[in-house]
Amino acid sequence: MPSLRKVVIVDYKLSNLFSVNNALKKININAQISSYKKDIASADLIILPGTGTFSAAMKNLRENDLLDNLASHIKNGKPFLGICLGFQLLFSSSSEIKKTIGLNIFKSKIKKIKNETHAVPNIGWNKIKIIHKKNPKLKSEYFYFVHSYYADILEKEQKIVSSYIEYQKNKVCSSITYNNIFATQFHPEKSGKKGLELMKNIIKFYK
Amino acid sequence: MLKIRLVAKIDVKDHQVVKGVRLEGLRVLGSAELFAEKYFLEGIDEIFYHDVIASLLGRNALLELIKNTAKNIFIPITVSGGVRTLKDIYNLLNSGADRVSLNSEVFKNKNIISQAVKEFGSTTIINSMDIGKINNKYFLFTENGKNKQEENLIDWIKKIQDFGVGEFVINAIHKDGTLEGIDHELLNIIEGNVNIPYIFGGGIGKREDLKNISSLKKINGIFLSSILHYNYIDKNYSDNFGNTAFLQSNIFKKKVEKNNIQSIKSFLKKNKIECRV
Repeated sequence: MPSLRKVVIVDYKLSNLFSVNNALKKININAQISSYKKDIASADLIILPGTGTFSAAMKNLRENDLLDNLASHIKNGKPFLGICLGFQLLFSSSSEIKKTIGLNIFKSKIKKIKNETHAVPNIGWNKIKIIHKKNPKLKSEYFYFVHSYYADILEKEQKIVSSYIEYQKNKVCSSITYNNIFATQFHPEKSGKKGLELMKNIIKFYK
Repeated sequence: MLKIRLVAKIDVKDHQVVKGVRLEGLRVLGSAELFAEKYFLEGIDEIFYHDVIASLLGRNALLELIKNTAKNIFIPITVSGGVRTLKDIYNLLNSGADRVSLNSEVFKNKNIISQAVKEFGSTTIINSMDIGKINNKYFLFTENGKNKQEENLIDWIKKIQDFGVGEFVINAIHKDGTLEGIDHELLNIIEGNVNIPYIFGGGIGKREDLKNISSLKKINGIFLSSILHYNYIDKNYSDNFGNTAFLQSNIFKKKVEKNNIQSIKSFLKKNKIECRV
């Protein structure tokens, strides 16, 4: 475990940052909420939380000139946690509102969930299924989801998927684990006691 | 299999839980924060705070309450009551609300929904519909049941849906606080006309009331209010808070089935309704 002296929650003016920060406080982690480049550049762990739209998030990250620092932090293998929109932003693009290019760490795309058997958006608790062990002790528990877009993972990137949910008879990626990147479609900070437990394990997971 | 979440609907006036019957005769039951925390520990899936006087007074006074609640409660918190501007929504989200619901303001300014959806995303923005039944007809109400609107319910559903809202919240006013069960006629109208998920509430007084929902496809949540509150008071009432004369009387104790959140969830599972356990 690296020494995570500086934990920075990226503020891109759309999110419920306080939920993430409150959950971190509960597990005794001190984090800083910032939208400043110098904080992103010197962070040991970056947390990209998220609600809001993909395009507005990218616009705000660009306006605060954070994109390069975020990308280099991740590419240099430093600890990164993405939550919900912060998970989706790792991918190449999204069709939400208008086609928008993402951080492009992974090549898969974010697409709208089709209204098949259930009403969309997917709001509520889903039990995740675990795929591989290189994860921060993920357990097959109920976590809270709220999304109308999902990561359509390409065949060549399937190895990054660490858990999924069954939604409308499809498998939907619920988390990815890759080197020091862990990101979830669900909200661990809003998933009750099991969510807090997972957050503790996430902090221990980083190398 | 139908999957739903149990949502504790906590009507709030000045940080206190209030509950009446058909939105009238509100009685103060105790501190909203304490109720919310207790429900969280018992396994509720979501907290829904509704400021009952905000629309009438033209302000939302929940910011402090949300801030304090969000420090100890790690499940979604949804808020409604007196939300009029994008700035109001921003302030609520910034205090720790996860999603915000609008009702009264939408009748004055329909653009507010589409603007809010564009800014905060469709999953964050909800539309509440307070629906009352008068002479066998359903009507929409605003300002916490005070003002009847003329819009046709089904037309209204379609209109709001087109604005991109992520979920509906349905309050059957004529059942609110009565503990006499769900209005299935209204439930079927909603189920038949929405294409987004919805939370339904009003009248749930015993586990059995939830039995008949398992055939529905779009319902996503159930509001629990009296069924939780009066059980809570029964077990935890010890201080001099709230309407003491009412709380110490046995008016509701006889009427309310003994329940807690886990007993309701066990009942749901038995009836093939999936929920978080």
